[in-house]
Amino acid sequence: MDALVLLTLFVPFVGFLINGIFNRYIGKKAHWIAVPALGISALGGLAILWQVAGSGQVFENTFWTWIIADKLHVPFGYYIDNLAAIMVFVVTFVSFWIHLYSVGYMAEDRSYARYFAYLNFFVFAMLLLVMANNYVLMFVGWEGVGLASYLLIGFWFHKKSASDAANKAFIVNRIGDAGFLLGIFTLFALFGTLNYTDIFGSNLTVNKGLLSLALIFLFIGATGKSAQFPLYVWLPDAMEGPTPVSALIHAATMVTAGVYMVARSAPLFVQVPEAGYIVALTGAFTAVFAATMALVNNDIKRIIAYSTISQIGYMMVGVGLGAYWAGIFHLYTHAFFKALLFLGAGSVMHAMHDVLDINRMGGLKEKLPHTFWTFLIGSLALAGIFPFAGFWSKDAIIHYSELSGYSIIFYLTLTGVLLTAFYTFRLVFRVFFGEPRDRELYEKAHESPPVMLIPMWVLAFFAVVAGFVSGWFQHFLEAQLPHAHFEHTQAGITLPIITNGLALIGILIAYFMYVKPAVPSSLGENPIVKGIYKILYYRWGIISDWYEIVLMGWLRSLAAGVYRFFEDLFIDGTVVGSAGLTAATGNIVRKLQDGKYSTYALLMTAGFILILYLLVL
Amino acid sequence: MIQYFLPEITILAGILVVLILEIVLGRKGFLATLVSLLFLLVAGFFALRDLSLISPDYYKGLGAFINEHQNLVYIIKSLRLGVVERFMDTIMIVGTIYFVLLSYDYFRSRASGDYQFLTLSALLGGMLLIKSNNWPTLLLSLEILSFSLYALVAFRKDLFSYEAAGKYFFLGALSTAFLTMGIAFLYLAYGTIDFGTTFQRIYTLAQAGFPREVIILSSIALAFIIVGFGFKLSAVPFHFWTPDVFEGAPTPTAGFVSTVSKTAAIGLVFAIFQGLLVNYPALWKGLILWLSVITMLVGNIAALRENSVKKLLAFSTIANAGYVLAVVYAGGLEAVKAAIVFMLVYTITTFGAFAVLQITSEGNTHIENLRGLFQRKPDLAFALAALMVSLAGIPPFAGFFAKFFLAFSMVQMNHPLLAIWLFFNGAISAYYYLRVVYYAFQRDDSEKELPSSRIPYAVAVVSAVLVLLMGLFPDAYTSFVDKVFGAFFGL
Repeated sequence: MDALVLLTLFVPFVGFLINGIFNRYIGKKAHWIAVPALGISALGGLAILWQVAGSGQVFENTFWTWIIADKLHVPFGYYIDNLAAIMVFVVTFVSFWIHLYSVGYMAEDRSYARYFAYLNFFVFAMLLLVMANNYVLMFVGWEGVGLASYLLIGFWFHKKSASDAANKAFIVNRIGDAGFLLGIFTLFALFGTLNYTDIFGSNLTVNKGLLSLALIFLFIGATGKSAQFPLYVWLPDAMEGPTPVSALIHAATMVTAGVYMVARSAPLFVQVPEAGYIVALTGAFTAVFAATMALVNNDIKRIIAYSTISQIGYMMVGVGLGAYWAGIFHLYTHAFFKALLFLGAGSVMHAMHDVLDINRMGGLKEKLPHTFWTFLIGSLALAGIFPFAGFWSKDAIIHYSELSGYSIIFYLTLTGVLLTAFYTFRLVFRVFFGEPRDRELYEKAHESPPVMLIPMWVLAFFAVVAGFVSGWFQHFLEAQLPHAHFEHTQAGITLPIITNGLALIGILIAYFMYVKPAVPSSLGENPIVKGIYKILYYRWGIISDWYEIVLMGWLRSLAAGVYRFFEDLFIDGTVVGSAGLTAATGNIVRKLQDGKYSTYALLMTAGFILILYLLVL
Repeated sequence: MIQYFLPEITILAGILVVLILEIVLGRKGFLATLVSLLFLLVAGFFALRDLSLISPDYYKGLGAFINEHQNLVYIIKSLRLGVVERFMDTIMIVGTIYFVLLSYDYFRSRASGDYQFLTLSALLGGMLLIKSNNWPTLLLSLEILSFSLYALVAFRKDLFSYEAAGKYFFLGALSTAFLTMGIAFLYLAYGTIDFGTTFQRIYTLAQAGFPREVIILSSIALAFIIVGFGFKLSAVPFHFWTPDVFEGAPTPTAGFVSTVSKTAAIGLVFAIFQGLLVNYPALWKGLILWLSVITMLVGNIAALRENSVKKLLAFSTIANAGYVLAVVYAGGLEAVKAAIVFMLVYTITTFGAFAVLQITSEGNTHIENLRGLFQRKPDLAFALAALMVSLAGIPPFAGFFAKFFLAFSMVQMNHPLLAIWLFFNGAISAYYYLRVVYYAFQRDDSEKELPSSRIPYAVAVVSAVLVLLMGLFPDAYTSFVDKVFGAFFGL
C-alpha cells in the first residue's frame, strides 16, 4: 500500500515539476508528460480502491513526523478507508479524462506547458487533501488546491476579468480557510492531537459546546471551498478559467472537498447532530437558492456553475443529515455528469468561437451530434431522471431528508428538483434546439476532435451507469462510516414517482417556453413576473446590495479606523522611523568602512579600549 | 591511541601527500584536487565514524594510554576531544570540500599541490584550534589557520588579491598581538597555561570568592583576548576587515573565510566561554551579550544598502556570527546543539551562494550585475533564490529551522527577549537577501553571456536542493545530533 499511495500521489507532482521547470523547452509536448502521469495515477487510484474494497480494512501509515512542536505532532502519512479510496478513485479517474480532453481544448494556447503543470499540481494537492491522515496535512492539500484553483482561474491573467475572478476566489476562500483553521485549533484544544485515528479513537464525550463550535468552524471552511451560502459568490466568477478547469476543479473534485471534509469528520458530527442539521439546512437552502439564479442566466458556463452550487447543496444535505453514504454517492455521480456537462459546454464554446451567451446559439443539434447526445445524457442525469446516475443519488438524499423529519429540508430538496430540471433543459433547448439565432456563428460551427469527444463519451457512459451501484455503494461506505441515525425504511415507489414527475414537469415547462412556445407572451409584461425575473436576473442583487450597505459599510469604517491607527501611526511610524534610523546608521557604518587599514586598526583599538573600560572600571 | 585522532592524522597525511606529489609530478591541478578531495572524504568519514561510535566510555582508552606513557603526556594533553569538537570538524570538512571543488573551477591547473597544502593546513589549523587544551597550542593552531588563509587570499596574485591579503594580514597580526597579551595576563592571574588547571583554579576561587587582583587581571586579560577572538569571528567592532577581504579575495576563499574559519572561531568561543570560563559568568556574560546584540544589528544594517554582493555576504557573515554568539551567551546543552545545526546549514547555504556568485559576479560584484540571471539560467536563479530565502530564515528552507533552534534554545534558557531580537534582525536581513533575488529575476537586455562553469553550477543546485530537503526533513539531522549528544553524555 505504501508504494501504491506514494506512486498515486507523487507521479502527478513529478509531472508538475517537469512541466513547471522545463516549460520553455517542452512547450506543446507537455501532454506527453502530464497525461501519462495522470494515467499512472488513475491506475494507482483504481488499485487502491481494489485493495481497500478487497480487504475491507483501513490502511494507515506514517512516513515521517513532519512537525514537532511541544504537544503537537503532525505526521506525514496517509489514512485510506473506504471513503478516501472512493475519493481517490473519483479524483484520479475524472482528472485523467479531463487531462486528455485538455489536449484538444488547449491545443492553441501559448502557455500549454504551464497549463498542464498547474493541472498536475492540482491533482497532487487534491490527493494530499484526500489521503492525509490528519487535519493539518489535509489543510495543506486544501490550500494547495486553493492555490491551483487561483492559478487556473487566472490562467489568462492578461484578461482583467480573469485576474479579478481569481482574486475573488482566493479571497473568499481565505474567509472559509480562517474558519477551517479555527476549527483545527479548537479540535487541538479539545483532543490534543489532530490525527484522525487518535481523535476518532479517543473518548469523544468531550464538551459538547466546544465540539459544536469546532464543527461549525470546520463547516465554515467547507462553505468557502464548496461554494455554499453565503460564500458561494466566487464560483460563478471562477468560470473565467479554461473550461476543462471548470469541469475538473470547479465541478467534479475541488469544490466537493467541503463535503468530503464533513464526511471525514463524521465521527465528530455524529456526536452533535445539531451541527449536522445546520449543515443540512444550509445545503438545502443553497440548493434552491442557487437553482433560482440559474433559471434566468444566459451564460452557458455560469448556468452549470450555479447548478454545481445547487448540487453540492444536496450533498451537504446528505452528509449533514448523517446519511454520509448518500452525500458521497451524489458527489461520486455528480463528478461524472457535471464534468461531462462542462466538457460539453467546452465543446460548444469550441465550436462557437468562445461565445458563452445562449441567446446566440440554438439548433446546434445537427452540427454537433456527439456533443448534443452526451450533453443530453448529462442533463438527464442532472435532472435526476430514472435511470440516469443523478436519479439514484439525488433520490437517496431526498429520501433521507424525508425520513429525517425536518420537513423544511424535504420540501426544499423537492423544489430543487423542479428548478433543476427546468434550468437544465432550458439550457439544452436554447443551445441545441430551435432555429439558430446567430447564423454566422452557426455556419462556422464544427464538431470537436476525437481527443475531446472520447472523454465525453466515457463520462457519458458513467453518467448513465454510475448510479446502478447504489446498493453496493451504501454497503461499502456504511461498513466504516456511521449510519444515518434515524429509522431507515426501504424507499418505496412513491418518492421516485414524485421526483421524476417533478423533473418531467420542469422539462415540460422548459419545452413549452423555449421549443413550442405555449406561454402567452403577455405574461412577460406582467409586472410581478417581470419583478421576479429581475431579482433572479440580477442574482438576488438585493442580497449583495445588503452586503454592501449593512456589512461593508461598517466594516469599511472599522477598517479605516484601524488603518489610521495601526497603519499610519503605528506601523508606518515604526517602519518609516526605523527605516530612516537604519539608513542613517547604515551610512555611518559604511562611512567607517573606508578601506584603509589604519582606520580599521584605530577602530579595533578603540573597541578594545571601550571593552577594557567597561570591564575593569 | 591513534584511533582517537584519525581525522587529524588523515588531514596531516593529506598535506604530506599533496606536497610529495607536487615535488615528484610537478604542477598537476586536477590530480592534486582529486587527492585532496579523497583525503577530505576519508577524514570526514572518520569524523562521522567517531561520532556514531561515541559513548560515555569512548575516550577512556585515551586516558589509560596517557597514564601508561607519561613521556607523551604533554603532547597528548595539549588537545581535548569531545563530540562538539568532532561535529565542528565535520562541518569544517564539509566546508573544505566545497572550497576544493570551487577552487578547482577557479584556479584550474594552479590549484595544484601548494594550493592544496594551504587548504588542508588551514583546515588542520581550524581542527586543532577548537581542540586546543592550552594557550600555546591555541596560538599555534590559530596561526596555522591564519597564515594559510593569508596566502589563500593572495593566491589570485593580482593587486586586489594582494591588497585584501595585506589588510587581512596586518589586522590579523594586530589582533593576534592583543590575544597574546591577553594570554600573558591570564597566566599572570592563574599561573598556568593549561586549560584544565585554569579551570580547576577558577572553580576553587569561585567557591571561596575571587580576590580583587585576580578579577582585575582576568578582566584585563579578557579585554585583550576578546580582540583576538572578535577578529576571527568578525564581531563588531573587530569586523572591519571582512567586507574588504571578501571583495578582494578569490570567491572560493571568501567562502572559506566565511564558513570554515568562522566555524573554527565559533568552536573556540564555545570552548573558552562555555567550557573554561563557565564558572566565572560574571566576567564575560554581559560582554558576550552586548557583543552579539550589536554584531547582529550592525551586520544587518550595513548590508541593507550594500551594492556589492560579496560585501553583502560579508555583512551577512557578520550578522550570523552575532546570532551564534547569542547562544554562547544563553548557554546550555541545547544551545551547543543549535549552534552545530546552525553552522552546518549556514556552511551549506553560504557556500552555495558563493558558488552562484562565482558564475555570475566574477570581475563585477555589483548587484546590478545579477540582472537577467533568471532569463539566462533559470535553474541557477531558482537555486540562488532558495539559498537567499534560506539565509533570510524563511520556511520551508533549512535556514528557518537553523534559526528556529537557536531561538528555541534561548527561550529554553529564559532569554525570550534575545530570541525576539534574533527574529527582529532576521526580519531586517530578509530585505537585503530578497533584494538579491529581486535583481536575479529582473530582465536584462544586454548581450552578456554567463560562463558555463559546470562545478559551481552543480554545487549551487545541489546546495539549494539540500537546503530545501533539510528544511523539509529537519528531523533527519537533528535526531542524529540528539542521538550523539545523548550517547556521549549518557542521557
